[in-house]
Amino acid sequence: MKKLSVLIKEAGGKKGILAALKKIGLRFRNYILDTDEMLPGQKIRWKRVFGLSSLIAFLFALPAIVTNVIFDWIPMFDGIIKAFCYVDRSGESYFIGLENFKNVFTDPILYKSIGNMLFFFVFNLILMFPTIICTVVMFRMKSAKVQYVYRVLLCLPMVVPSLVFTLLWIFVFGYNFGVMTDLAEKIFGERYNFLGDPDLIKWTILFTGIPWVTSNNVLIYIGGLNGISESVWDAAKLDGVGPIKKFFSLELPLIVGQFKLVLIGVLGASITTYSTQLMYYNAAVHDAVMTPGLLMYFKAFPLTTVPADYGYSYALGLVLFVVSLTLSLLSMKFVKSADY
Amino acid sequence: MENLKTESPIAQKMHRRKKWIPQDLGKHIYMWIVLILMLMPLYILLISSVKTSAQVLNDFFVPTFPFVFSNFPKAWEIISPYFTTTFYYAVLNTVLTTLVAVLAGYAFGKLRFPGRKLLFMLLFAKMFLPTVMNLVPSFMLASKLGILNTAWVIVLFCIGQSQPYWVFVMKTFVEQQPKELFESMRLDGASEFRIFTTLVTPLLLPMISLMAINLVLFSWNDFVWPLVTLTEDSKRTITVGLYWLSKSQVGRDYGVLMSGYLLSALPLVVVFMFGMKAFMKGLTAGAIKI
Amino acid sequence: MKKLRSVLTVVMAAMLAATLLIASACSGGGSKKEIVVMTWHGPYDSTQYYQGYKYLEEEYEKEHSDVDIVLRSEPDSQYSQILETGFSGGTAPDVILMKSAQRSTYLSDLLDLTPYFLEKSAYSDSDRWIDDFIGGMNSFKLENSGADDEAALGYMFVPFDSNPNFTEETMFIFNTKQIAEAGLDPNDPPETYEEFFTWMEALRVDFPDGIIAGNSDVGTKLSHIHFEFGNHYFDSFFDEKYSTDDVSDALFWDKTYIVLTYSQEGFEDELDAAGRQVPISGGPMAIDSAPYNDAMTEFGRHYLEQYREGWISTSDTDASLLFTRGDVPMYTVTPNTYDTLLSDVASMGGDKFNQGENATGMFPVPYLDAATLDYAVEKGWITQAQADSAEPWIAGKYSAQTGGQFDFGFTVNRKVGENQEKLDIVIDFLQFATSKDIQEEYVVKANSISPIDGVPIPESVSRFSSPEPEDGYATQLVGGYAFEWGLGPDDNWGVTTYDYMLGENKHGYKNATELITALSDPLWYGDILQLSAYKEAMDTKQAEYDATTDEAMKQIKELELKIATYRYELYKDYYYEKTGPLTSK
Repeated sequence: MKKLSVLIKEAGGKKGILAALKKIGLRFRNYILDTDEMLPGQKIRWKRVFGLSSLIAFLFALPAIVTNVIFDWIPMFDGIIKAFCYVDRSGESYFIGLENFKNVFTDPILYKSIGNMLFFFVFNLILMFPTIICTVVMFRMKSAKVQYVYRVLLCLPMVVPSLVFTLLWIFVFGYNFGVMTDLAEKIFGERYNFLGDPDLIKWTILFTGIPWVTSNNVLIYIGGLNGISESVWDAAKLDGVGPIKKFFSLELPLIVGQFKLVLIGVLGASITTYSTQLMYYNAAVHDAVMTPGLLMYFKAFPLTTVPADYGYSYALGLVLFVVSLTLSLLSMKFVKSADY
Repeated sequence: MENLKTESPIAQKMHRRKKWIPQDLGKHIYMWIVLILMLMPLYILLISSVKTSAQVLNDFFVPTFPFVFSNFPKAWEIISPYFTTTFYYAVLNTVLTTLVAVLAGYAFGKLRFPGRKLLFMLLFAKMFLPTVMNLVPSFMLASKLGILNTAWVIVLFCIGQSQPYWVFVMKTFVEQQPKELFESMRLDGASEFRIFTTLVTPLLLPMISLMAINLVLFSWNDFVWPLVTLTEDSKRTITVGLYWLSKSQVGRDYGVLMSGYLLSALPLVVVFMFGMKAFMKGLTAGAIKI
Repeated sequence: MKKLRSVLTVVMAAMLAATLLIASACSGGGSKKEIVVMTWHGPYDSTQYYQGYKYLEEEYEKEHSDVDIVLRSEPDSQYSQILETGFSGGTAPDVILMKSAQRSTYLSDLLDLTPYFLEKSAYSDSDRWIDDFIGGMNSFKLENSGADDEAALGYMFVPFDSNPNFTEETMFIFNTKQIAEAGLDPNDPPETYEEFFTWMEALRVDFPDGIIAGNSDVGTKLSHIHFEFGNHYFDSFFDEKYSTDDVSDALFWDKTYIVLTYSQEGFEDELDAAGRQVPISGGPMAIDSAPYNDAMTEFGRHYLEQYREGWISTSDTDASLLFTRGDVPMYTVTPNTYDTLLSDVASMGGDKFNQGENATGMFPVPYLDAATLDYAVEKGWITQAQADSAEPWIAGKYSAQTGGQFDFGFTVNRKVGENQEKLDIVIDFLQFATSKDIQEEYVVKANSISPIDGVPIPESVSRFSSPEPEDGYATQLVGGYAFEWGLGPDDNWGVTTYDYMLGENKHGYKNATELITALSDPLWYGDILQLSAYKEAMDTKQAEYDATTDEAMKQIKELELKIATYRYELYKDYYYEKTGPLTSK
C-alpha cells in the first residue's frame, strides 16, 4: 500500500488529488466491506460480497460480537457516562457533572489508598525476578526429561483454587493459632499480630507470595528460550564466562520480549488490584490495606448497612481506567521503541 | 546413550565438555527449595484433611495417625451444593465460550463478509482496555436484566469478556492453516456448517483444548464477581462458599475445613490429568506472539 | 482420520445438547404456584431457624400440593444490599424477613397487612387473626403503609421469632474451673458492670492477654455497653405529651429519626433529586452533646480491652476454639451456639475444664448502675462531672430491647398485592405458620420463641433471658444509635471507633464529643416522608374514627388517631418547620 503523500505526488496536481481521494475512498470501502483491491480490468463480485456465504460468515461471528458488546463494551460506556451522574439505589441517574470527582479527590482515604497501591506496585515489579531466575535455572538443566518433570511439579499447585492458598495463609498467620505467629514468637520473643497490625499487614500479604515464582510465566519464558536454534548459542562466546554474565548476554535478550508483555500485564493489574486486599480486610488494617480498587468496591458494596455511593464508585472506576490505560499505552510504546 | 537431538542446545554443548558437578548440584538444590516452598501448602492440605481439629492445631507440620477419613463425607455434605453449581457453571462457560470463539475465529480468519475487519477491530481493541471499571456497571446491568443469582450472570459475562483474547488467538491460528484445505471442501459442495464441524473443529483441537483448560481454571477460581452476584446460599460457587465457610462457626473443625479445600481441587486434578500435555504445550510453544 | 472427525463432531454436538438441556431444565419451574421466602438464616448457619422454616415449608406443602414454597437465604452482611437491588430491580421475593431498621427503609415497597390481621384466620378460632398474638393489637406498631411517599398507617409485618415481653440475650459463658482458680465464685456471677469489671481484674492475673474470646465484630461488642446508656433520652427533646405510656413506644422510631437526622445547621437550600429537604451534612447534630457520651465511650474502651488481644482479626472459628480449648476463660453464647460449644468443650477442653455438667456457667450481659459509675470514677476512667451528667440516663437494671411491642417479623412485598391468587396463598401461608399448633412444633425445631399467645418458650431459649426486675425492664436505651446511625471519615463507624479506642487515633479526636460529631450524619433522611404524607395519614385516621360505630373499635381508632396526629406534629414542629438547633431539656 502506498503512502498518501506518495500517491499525491505521483498523481500530480488537482486532478491528481481527486484521483488520490478516490483511492482513499476505495481503500475505506475495502476495509468496511471486506472487498479486495481490484486490478484494472477486474470487477468486484458483489454477489460474493453480499451473498449467502457472507451472511453465514457474519452469523458465525455474530454471537461473539453481540455478547462482547452487551457484556463488555456496554458496561464500559455505562461506567464512563454514569461517572458524571448521581446514581441512586434504584439505578436511576441524574446528571451532576464533576461532583463525584470532587468527592473522590477530596477524600483523604483516596490518597492513603494510592500510597498502598504504589507499595504493591513497586514490590510486584521487584518480585518478578524470582520467576526469571527460576526460568534460567530450569532452562540450564542438562536433561530435557528432568526439566519436564520440574515443569509438571511447578504446575501442580494450579489444581487448587488460589483462594484456598490465601485462606491457608490467613490461617497460618492467625494471631491465636497460626504456626507462623508461634514461630515468630519463638524467634523474636514478641507475639506479632500479622493480620491485625496495620504496620505489618502489607508485608504479610507480600510474604504469602513465597517463593514468588509464577509457574505460568516460567512456562512462557521457557517456551521462548527453547525455541532458539543452536546457531545462536554457537555465535555467543561461552568459554570462561561466569553464569551471571552468561545470563545477561544470553538468556535475557531472548526472554526480554515475553518479559515486556508480562510486565505490561503486571503494571495494569497493580493499579487496579483489590481482590487480595479484600480477603485480608478488617477494621484494624482499614487504612493499611485499602487500595483505590478496594475503595471503589466498598463504595458500591459496603460491608456495613450504610447506603452505597454508586456515583463515587463510578467516578473512581473511571479514574482508575484512565490511569491504567495510559500506563499500558505508554509502556507499550516503550516496549516498541526499546526493541530497536 | 542419550539422544542428543532432544536436548536443548546448551545442554548439548555441555555434554561435549567436562561435567561441572557443583553447578549442577546448585541448580537442583535451588529447584528443590523453590518446589518445597510451592508445594508445602499442598502437603499441609493433604495431611490436615485427615486430622481432627486438635491435631491440625497442635501438630501442624507432621502427619498424624490414624487418618480421620470421616472428615471427607462431612466436608462433602457441606460443600456439595457449591461443588455442583460451580461444575455446572464451568461446563456452560467452557462449552459456550469455546463454541462462540471458535465460530468467530474461523469467520474472521478464513471467511469473508462485509464488516469483517471493522468488527474484528472492535474485539481486538477491547483487549487493550482495562476492565477495572466494569464491575459496578456490570452488576447494574445484571440487576436490570434480572439475572442475578442465576447461572446466566456468570456465563453470559464470561462469554462476553473472553471474546477479545480468544477470538484473536483462534483467528491467528486459523489464518496459519493452508487455505487449500477449506477450498477443497467448498469445491466438493460442502455447506459452511459442514466445513465447520468436520474440518475446522478437529483442526483447531489443540487451541480448543488450551482454551477449555483455561476457562475451566478461570471458572473454578473466579471470586469477586460470584461473591457480588451470587449471594444466595444455594447458588454460590466453590470459592465463595469456602470463603464464607472459613469465617463461620460451621467451619470450626479445621480438619473438615481442610478436607473441604482438598475436595475443591478434585475437578481440576482431573482436568489437568487429561489436559496437562496440551496445557504445557500451549504455553511453551509460545503460541501467542503479539 | 475421517472417523475421528465424525466422532468428535458427534461428541461435541452431544455435549452441546446436554448443556442446553441442563440449562433449560434448571430454569424451567413447573405448573406449581411459587412463593419465595427470604431470610438470612441458611442451612449451614449455626442457628436452627432454617430447619424451622423447612418444617413450615414441608407441612404447608403437604396440605397444599399445588404450592411450592421456595426458601431463599442470603448472608446477613449482604442483606441490605440485596434488598436494595431487589426492590429497585423488581426481583425482590414475596415474603421477606426484615429487621426493624431495614423495614423502615423499605416501607413503601411493602404490603399493608392490616385488613388481613383484622379478619379471621382459617387456622384459628379467634375472631381476628391479630388476636392470636401475645398482647393482641396493642403489641402491634403502626407504621407508614403508603406506597412511594403516600399516606396511611397500618401493620406492615407478621411478627415472627419474637415475643414482645421477652428479649433473647447474648450471655457470657465461662470456664468454672478457671474462674475458681482466680479466686472468684462460679456460682455468683456478676450482675452489674461494677461486679463484672471486678471479675475482669481478678482474671487478668492469670490471663494477661485478655479474658474474653471475641471475633472481629466491633459493633456487637460495643452494643453491650452502648445500650446501657440513653434511657429514654430522645424523649427529652420533645414535649412531654409525646412520651406518655400509650404513645411512647409507637412514636419511638419517629423521635429517633428526628434526633438522628435533623441537622443543627438546618436544611440545604436546594431539594435533592427526589424532591426532599436535605439536612446539612457534616455539621453538629443533636446527639453530639448527649450528657452520657463521655462516660459511655470510656466504658466502651475499657470493655473492649477485656477481650483477648488480636480479636480484631480473629474469626468466629478461632474465637470459639480459644474458649473450648481452655486458652481463655470466657466467651459469648447464644441459644444457637450453646450446644456446639458444650460438645466442643467436652471433646477439646481436656483438663482445663471441670468435668461434667459444671464445666461451664452462664450469666447475662450485665447492666450499668450508679455504683458502676462510682467505680469508674474511683478508677480514674471518668471524672465525677462526667459520671454525674451520665447518671440520669443509665439503664440501672436489666433491659429489654422490645419495649412491649413486636418489632420483628416477615414482611410481604407490595407487588404480591397485584396478584390476587398469589396474595391469597401468601396470607394463607403466613396464617398457617402462625397458628398455635404449628408454632408449638416450630419453636422446638427452630430453637426460637413464638409471637403466638399460649405457645411455651423452649427451655433452650428461655434460659437465655435476663431476670425481669420488679419494676419492669429498662427500655428505649439509645446510647448506641449515635454510632450505628453514623458514617464517619472511614465509611464505617466500627473502623473509626476502634481506631479511636484501641488504635492510633489517626484522626486525632480529643474526646468522645469529637468522635461522635465526626460520626453523626443525617444519612437516613430519605426514609422520612414528606410532611403532606403525615397529614394525609392523620386525615385518614380521622375519617376512620368518625366512621366507626363499634365501641371497642372506637377506642382503638381513637388511639390510632392520636398517634397519627402526634406523628404529624412531631415532624412539623421538630423537623420540617423547625428553626435553630434541636436541644434536650
